[in-house]
Amino acid sequence: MTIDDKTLENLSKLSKIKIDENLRNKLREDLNLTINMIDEINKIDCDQIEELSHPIKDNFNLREDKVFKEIDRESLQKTSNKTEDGFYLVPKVIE
Amino acid sequence: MDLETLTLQEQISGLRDKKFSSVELVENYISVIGNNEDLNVFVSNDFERAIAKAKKSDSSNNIQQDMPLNGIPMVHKDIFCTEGVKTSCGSKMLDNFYPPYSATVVERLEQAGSICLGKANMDEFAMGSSNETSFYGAVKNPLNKQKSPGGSSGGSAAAVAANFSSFSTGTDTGGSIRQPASFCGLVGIKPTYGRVSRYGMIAFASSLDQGGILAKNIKDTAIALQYISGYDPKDATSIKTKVPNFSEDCESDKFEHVVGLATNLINSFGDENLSKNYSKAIKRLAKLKIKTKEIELPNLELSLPVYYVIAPAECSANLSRYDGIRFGYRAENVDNLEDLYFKSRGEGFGNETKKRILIGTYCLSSGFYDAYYKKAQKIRNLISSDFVNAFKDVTSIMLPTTSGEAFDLGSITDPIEMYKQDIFTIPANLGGLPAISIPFGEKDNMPLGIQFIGNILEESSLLNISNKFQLD
Repeated sequence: MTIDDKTLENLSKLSKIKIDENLRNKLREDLNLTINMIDEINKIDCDQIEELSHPIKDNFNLREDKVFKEIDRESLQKTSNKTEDGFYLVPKVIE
Repeated sequence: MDLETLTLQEQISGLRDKKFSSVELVENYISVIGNNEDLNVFVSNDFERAIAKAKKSDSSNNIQQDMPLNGIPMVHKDIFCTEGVKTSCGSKMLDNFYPPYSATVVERLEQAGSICLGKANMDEFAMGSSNETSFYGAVKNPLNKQKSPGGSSGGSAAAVAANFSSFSTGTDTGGSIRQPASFCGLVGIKPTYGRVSRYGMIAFASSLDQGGILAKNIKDTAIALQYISGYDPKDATSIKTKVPNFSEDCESDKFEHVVGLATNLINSFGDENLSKNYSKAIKRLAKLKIKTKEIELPNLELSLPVYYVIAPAECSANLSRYDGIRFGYRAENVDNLEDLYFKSRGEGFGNETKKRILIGTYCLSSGFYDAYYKKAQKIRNLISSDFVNAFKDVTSIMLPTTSGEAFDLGSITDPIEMYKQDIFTIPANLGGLPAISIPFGEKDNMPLGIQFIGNILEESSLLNISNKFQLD
């Protein structure tokens, strides 16, 4: 597989990352080197093998369904520089 | 007495016996740090609060029993959220982030009485093996300032190696504790996935990330590991099981060891120095009369490509939270909401982070999901099975930590060469296994490391074999 300009543009859209023009060529080159390296896995036949998504099997510890420490809205919203009356401000989305 | 060179164990007993005070310890470290600012170890310091806490600790020494690390200064990797103290994760994206809560690791070490001196520099979002991807610039290796301290926990490693603290916290997704420990001549442990809570530890790749400890020796590593380990209801992946007494276990005689050797695999790299140091380590085991057994790890060489599918895929999902709105960097002069996302992420993330998000997005995108992500998870199972099989016959597996000594800053420009730094450390992360790097050997006056990988939840056995190995 190869990442061309069109694919890079699509990846930029999917991941919502603006890519500077001056970075584009180097990025495409590096991505192709990486894809080339990971393509090794496609040489292996493992159709019958199950996928492993979690390294420790059967370890699911659900906690009791109760609030243990509440971080109040005001403290949480201090991490944003644009809030008003408890809401986050974003550019206008409805015309 | 040079307070900064004391081990954690010596500091604990020195404080208990009132040979020095916590304030003296903290002030001494602040002075050493001030004289070595060019190493670029800290993203932010917390000196004022550290002195205040040290004063409080000195006046409350009677609670030593309940607070075993009472008055001990330490350093956190800047990936752990610290309430009210800047937590950047080495990124411009979080340069303005002051978390409203602390990570469980931070809380537990505070409860044990330790005092955080500051937050250590690191590769951006823990993505890197040299510390060069940090928004704040690379950390220099205290043993040779031309060299990299390794990464991503490079600041944590440099802090201990430069005598800024006796131990530090780090995180390890593919080798980020063990490789810097090896480059800086330290001990570094990545515990079993789930041994240490990930709550408040900024996520890179959630099925691989694990917090751990860097220290000057094995005993100190065991002591510090004790206080960050254990089940945490705030992390559903943390393991609900009793934490052994690591400090006692590391010196105990109760452990039987059979060390697995992968000599054929190591020799297949065709690197003379690598093979030489490995065979020197085997000779050490023989001299110590520790049983060994040659093992096969047939799928190990696939670890690198598998990792570079899974880690970026998980990172692309985890890092979607950075939208420029609720926290983190927010771009100015935007046309609309979509533009706010694009510009905030385009300007806030560094190049390596962007690259990994894009690779992850590619591997998860329609048409490629089966060929990359699903396939990588299947091979992850094969690699994990290799370990399961090996541990039927052995109690630990010995591998090099890295293929060589610390490299010069700026010397590796090929991304794949940089990724290969973690070739011997990644497999333990894929298997969720505990692994430790200890100093062994040297090349061109720089330290090398040897690594022991253990079975799930067998940190005690790992610390014990490491301790025996060093008693030569």
